Amino acid sequence: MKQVDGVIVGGGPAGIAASIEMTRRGLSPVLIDENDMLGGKVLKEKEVLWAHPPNRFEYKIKKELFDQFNTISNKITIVKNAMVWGIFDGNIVAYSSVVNGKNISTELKAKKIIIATGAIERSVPFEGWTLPGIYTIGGLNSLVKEQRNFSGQKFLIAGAGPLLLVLANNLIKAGAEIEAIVDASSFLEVMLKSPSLVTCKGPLWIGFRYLRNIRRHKIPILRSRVVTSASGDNQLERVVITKVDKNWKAISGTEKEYSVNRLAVGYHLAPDTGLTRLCGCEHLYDKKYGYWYVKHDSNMATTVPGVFVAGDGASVLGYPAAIAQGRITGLAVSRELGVLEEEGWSEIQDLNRQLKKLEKFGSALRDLSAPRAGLFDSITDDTIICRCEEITFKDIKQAILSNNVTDVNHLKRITRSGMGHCQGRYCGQFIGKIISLLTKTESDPGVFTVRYPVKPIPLESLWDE
Amino acid sequence: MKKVDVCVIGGGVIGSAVTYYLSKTNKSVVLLERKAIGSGSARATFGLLTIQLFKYFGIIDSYLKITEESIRMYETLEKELGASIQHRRTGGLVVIKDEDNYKDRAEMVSSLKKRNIDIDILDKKQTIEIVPNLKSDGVLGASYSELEGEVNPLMLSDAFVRGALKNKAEVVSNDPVASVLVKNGKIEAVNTTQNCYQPKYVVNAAGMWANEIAKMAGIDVPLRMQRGQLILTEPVRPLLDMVIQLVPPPTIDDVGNSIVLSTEIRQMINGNLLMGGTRDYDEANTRTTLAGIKSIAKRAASIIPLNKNINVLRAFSGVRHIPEDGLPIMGFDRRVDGWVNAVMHVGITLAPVAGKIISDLIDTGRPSFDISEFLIDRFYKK
Amino acid sequence: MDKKHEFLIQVDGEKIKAVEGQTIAAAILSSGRVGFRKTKTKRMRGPYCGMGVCYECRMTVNGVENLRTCVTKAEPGCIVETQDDTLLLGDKNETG
Repeated sequence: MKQVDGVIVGGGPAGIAASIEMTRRGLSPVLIDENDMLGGKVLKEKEVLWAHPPNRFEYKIKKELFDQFNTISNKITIVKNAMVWGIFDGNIVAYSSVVNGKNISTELKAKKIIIATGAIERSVPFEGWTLPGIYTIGGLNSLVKEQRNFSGQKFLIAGAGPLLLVLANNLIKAGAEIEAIVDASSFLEVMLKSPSLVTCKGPLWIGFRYLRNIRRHKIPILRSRVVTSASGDNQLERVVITKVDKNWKAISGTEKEYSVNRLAVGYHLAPDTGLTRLCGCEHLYDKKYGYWYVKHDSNMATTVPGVFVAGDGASVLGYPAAIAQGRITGLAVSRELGVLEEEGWSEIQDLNRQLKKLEKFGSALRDLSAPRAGLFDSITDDTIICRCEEITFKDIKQAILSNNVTDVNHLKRITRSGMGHCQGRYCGQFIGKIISLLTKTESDPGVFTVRYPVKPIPLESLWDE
Repeated sequence: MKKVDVCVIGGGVIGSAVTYYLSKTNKSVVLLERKAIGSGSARATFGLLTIQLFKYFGIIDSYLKITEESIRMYETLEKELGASIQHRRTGGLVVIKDEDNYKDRAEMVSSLKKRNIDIDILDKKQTIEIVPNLKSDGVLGASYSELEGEVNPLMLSDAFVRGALKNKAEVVSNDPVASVLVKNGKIEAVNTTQNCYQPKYVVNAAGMWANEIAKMAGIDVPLRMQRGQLILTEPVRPLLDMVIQLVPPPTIDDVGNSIVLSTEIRQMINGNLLMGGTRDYDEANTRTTLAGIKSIAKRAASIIPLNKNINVLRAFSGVRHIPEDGLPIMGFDRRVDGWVNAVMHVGITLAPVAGKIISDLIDTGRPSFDISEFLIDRFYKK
Repeated sequence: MDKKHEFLIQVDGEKIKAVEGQTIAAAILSSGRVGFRKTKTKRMRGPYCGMGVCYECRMTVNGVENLRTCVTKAEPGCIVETQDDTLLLGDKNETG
C-alpha cells in the first residue's frame, strides 16, 4: 500500500485551498475528486458548455484560487473521476476508479486526511414530490447549465434560501420560462436579517442584482408560500402553492394551483457527513437548523486524530468560507507534520477571524432557509417518504404504531426506508423528525448508521489482485 | 418494583420468540431490550434455515428433532404472527470442493436419511443440474436439502414482538439491564436503567451479551465470539432461487488456524444479492474490514458468474456467540433458582422452537422437547 | 452560443442530439423527456438531485445497468435504455 503525507477527499474550493497550503510547505498531497473537473459545484475549473460566466465577485475569488493552484498543481497528485468509498482505521483511504476500462479500488495509507466532500441539499417530502420534472434547486442548477433546449418547459422555483435566486438567474440566462419564484420566508424576515446579511457585501450585492434581473423579467416572487402538493400523470403537470405561517405550516384555504411541468424545490444545504461518520468522528446536532455536523476545533481537526474537515462538508457557509477552512486545514496539517513556518501559525488565527465574519452571514442565510417543522404538516398518508424503496408515510405510521419504534435504524430494518441506492441521504434527513412527531417523544431517534461503501461501488472494484 | 412472572432479557430472535410464546400462556411477561428490537446479532445474520450443520458436531438426535420441528413451525409462522418475515423454502445447497468434507458430508447425509430427513448427496453432474450456471471448477458435489430455506432476519424479531404485543405482553426498549439481585440462589430483582422488576423467572436471551448478563447474577455462560461480515448488492434480475453455500478446501488464517472459509450467497425477495461471510475469531464488534469486504466479493463471484458492474450497497457484520460445543444452551440454570438460559449460535433456524420450548418449560415446568443435552450443566460436569 | 461538437445518441431506439461534454441526463432533458426509469410499482422517475447521489436518473448505458445519467457523459452513438424495475421481481410480483 502506498504511503502518502496527506489525502484530500474532494476537489472543491476547500480541497483546492488545502492542497495549495500543503504544497507550499513541501508536502505532496493526493487530491481525489469524483468528477472530471475540479472546483466543486460553484467554482468549476472550466465552464460547462454555454453556462453563464461567473459574476465579478465569484470570478475574482475563482481566479485567485486557480491561479495559485495552477502554480503548484504539478506537485500534487490529482486523481479525478475517483470516488472515496471508505476510510479504514482512520488512515487508509480507499477509492474506486476506472483504469483501462476496469473498475479498481486503490488504497492509500495517509498520515493526514482532509475530508472536504461538500453538502447535500435539504428536502422535505410533499405529496407528488417524486414525479419526473421535479428537482432539487442545486440539481436543476447543475442540469440547466448543460441543457440546451427548454421549449415547452414551464418552471416554478420553490423552497427557501439564496440558491433560489441563483437558479432563477441561470434559468433566465438559458431562456427558460419561469412561472414564479415561491419563497417560504417572508419579506419582513429578510429585512430583519439584513444587519447580518450586509456583513458580506459581495454576495449581498450579487443577491440584489439577481433580484433586479428577476424583476426586469417580470417573474413574480411570492413569499410566505410553499409547495404543498404536485400532481400529474407520471410526470409533473401542476403544483399547489399554499400560504404559510411563520413556522411554514400551510394555512388552509389559501391554496393556489399552477400549471407548470418543471419544479425545483429545496431548502438550502446540510453537510454530507457520510465519510466523517464512517471514520468515527464525533458529530453534533444543531437544534436550530436541524442538522448534524462534524465536531471540529479551530484547526478544523475532528475528534479522530489526523482527520480534518473543511468546506460545506463541515459547515454550510458558502465557498469563501470553504476556501478559508481549506487553507486552515492545509496549514494545520503542515503544522502536525512539522513543516509549518512560524508565520503560518498566526495565519490560522487570521483565517479564523475571517470565518467569524462569514459565519454571521451564513447563519442569517440558514435562518431564512432551513426547513421548519410546519412543512411536515402537509405530508399526507400517500406521500412517499423513502423515494428509493417507495415507502409512504402511511407505511411508516403503521410500522411505528405496531412495533413501538422510536429509533431510525429500527424503522429502517422493518420498513426498508433508507435501504435503497441513495443510502438514506434523502429520507434520512427527515425520518428522525417524523418519528419524533408521530411518537411525540423527546428521545433522540438517532441517525442512519453509515456503512461501507459510502456510495455504491461495482463488485469488480473489490475483485483486485 | 414491578412484579412479573417472567423477565426476558434480550429482544433478538430468541428473546422475542420466547416472549411471544409466553404471551400465549397466562404467565405475565416483560421483554427487556437494551436498544431496539432486533438491533443485536439479529440484524446481521444470513437468514438461513439450515439442517446441514451436523457436519460440525455430529448427529445428536435431540438437536435434530428440535431443528426439524423449528423448520416445520416456520411454514405457518407468518400466518400465526400476522406479520411478514419473507420466509421461503428455497432448498439449501452446499457445494463442496474439499475431498474430506465431501466424504464426511456423504456420511452425514446417509445418517440423516436413515432418520427420514429429506436430504441428498449429489455428485458433480447432479449439482450442475440443480444450478446450471454454477462455476464448476473443482466442484466434487453437494449436499442438498429441500427442507432448507431463508427468512429476512431483520423482520423476524419484530414479527414475534408484534404477536406478543397483540397478546398484551410488555415490551420495553432503550432500557438496558443494569443489575440483577440474587440472594441465597434466588432472583430478587432485575434492575434496568429506568425500572425495577421482581420476576419469578429470568430468561437470558441476551445473545452476545449473555455472559455479561449472567455475570450480573453471579454465574456465567461460556461463549466464544466470532464476527461474521456480509455484503449486500443492489437489486438485480432474478439470478438465484436457492441459498448456495460453498465449502472450499481448508486454508490457514493469519493466526495459523486451519479454517474452512465457506461462502454463502442468496437472492432476497427484493432482488438484492446477500453474500457472506467471514469468521473473525474473538472479534466482538460489528465493524467491517477492507480485507473482509474484498474477500467476500471475490469468493461470492467464484460460486456463480456475477456481473462485474453490480453495485455493492452496504457491508455489515454481526457477532456469532458460539457455545463451546456448538450446541444451544437452553433450560434451567441450576445455579440460580428460576434462571433460564436461551443462548445459541443457530438462532434463526431455532427461534420458533426455542421460544416454544422455553415457554413450555416455564409454563408447565417441563420442556416440550428433550433438552437434556443443552443444559448449561454440561460445561461444569466433572 | 458555442460551437461544440454535436452528435447523436440513442435513447430507447430514438435518436436524440447531444453535445460534447454534456451529460446523458442533460441531453435527454433537452429533448423534452423527464421520465427516465420505471419503479417496481410502475411509476416513472426522473433526475432529482443532479449530482449523482439520489440514483433516480439511472438508466442502462451500452448494456451496463444502473448508471447515473446525470454524471455520465454522452458519447457519440451510445445506447441508452430505460430500466424497468418491475423486471427485478421476475414472476414473483411481491414488493416485500
